[in-house]
Amino acid sequence: MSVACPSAAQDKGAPNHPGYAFGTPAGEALFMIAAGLSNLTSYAPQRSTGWGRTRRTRTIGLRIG
Amino acid sequence: MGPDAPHAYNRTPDRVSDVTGAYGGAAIGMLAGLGLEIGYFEAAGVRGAAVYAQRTALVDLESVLFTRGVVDGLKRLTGRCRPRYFVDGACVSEVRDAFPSGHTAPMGALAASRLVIAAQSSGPWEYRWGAFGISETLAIATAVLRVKAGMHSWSDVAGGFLIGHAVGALVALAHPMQAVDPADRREGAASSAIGRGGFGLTWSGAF
Repeated sequence: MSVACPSAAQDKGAPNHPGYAFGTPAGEALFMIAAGLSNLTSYAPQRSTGWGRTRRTRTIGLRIG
Repeated sequence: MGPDAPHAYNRTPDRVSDVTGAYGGAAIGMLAGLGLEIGYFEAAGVRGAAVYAQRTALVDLESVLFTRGVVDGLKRLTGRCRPRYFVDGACVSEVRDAFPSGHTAPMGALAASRLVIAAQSSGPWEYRWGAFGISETLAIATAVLRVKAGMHSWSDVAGGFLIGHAVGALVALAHPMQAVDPADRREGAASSAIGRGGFGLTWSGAF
């Protein structure tokens, strides 16, 4: 015999799960393809913006000769 | 430490962050989440728990893939120097892909997708909150380790953390939750055998 206490016996409802993206199998397929294709951004050329310098250094010199 | 301050390279946290974050961490987080998701359906008395659990794993995978795409695009555009390459106020490397953190962002995406799913859960939801806890812990640990390693500044990992969470939450929200097919629920499952919100008394055993 087992006695369930009120808290354990409380119904938490029916289990659920994530459905298809946007509710349709086609949406899921398109979503998966888009997720994969988004990784093509790694082939884009790397920009060099200069962001990350702690200070801008400027050389001021006197050219002789 | 300011967002653009130089920071020496530290190998140990760099190697550990490869396990807690990026592909290694994503694999660990997704496998742990898959195990807990199977536990969720088993505890709810669902037949084919491993099959149902793959739906959540698919959301995880899409969250990580989308986040990598967004992060890689931003890395190419922003061209930020890594803290370990700051020398005398200048960047001494051609590698300028610091922002945002590519180790932290996928873990943030996993955590956010797990959070959205857990928040919408019914049934034995503690399994799903457990999966969220694991992913979020890995995300935070990875962020700290990447800074300690000198690979990122705090603003890099904060950016990765927030972008990952945003993308992961949007991906999870794109998948509306639906109830398990009643035909897949075993008879006598605890949640269906006991009345909603009432006191339950169950008997079991051989007579």
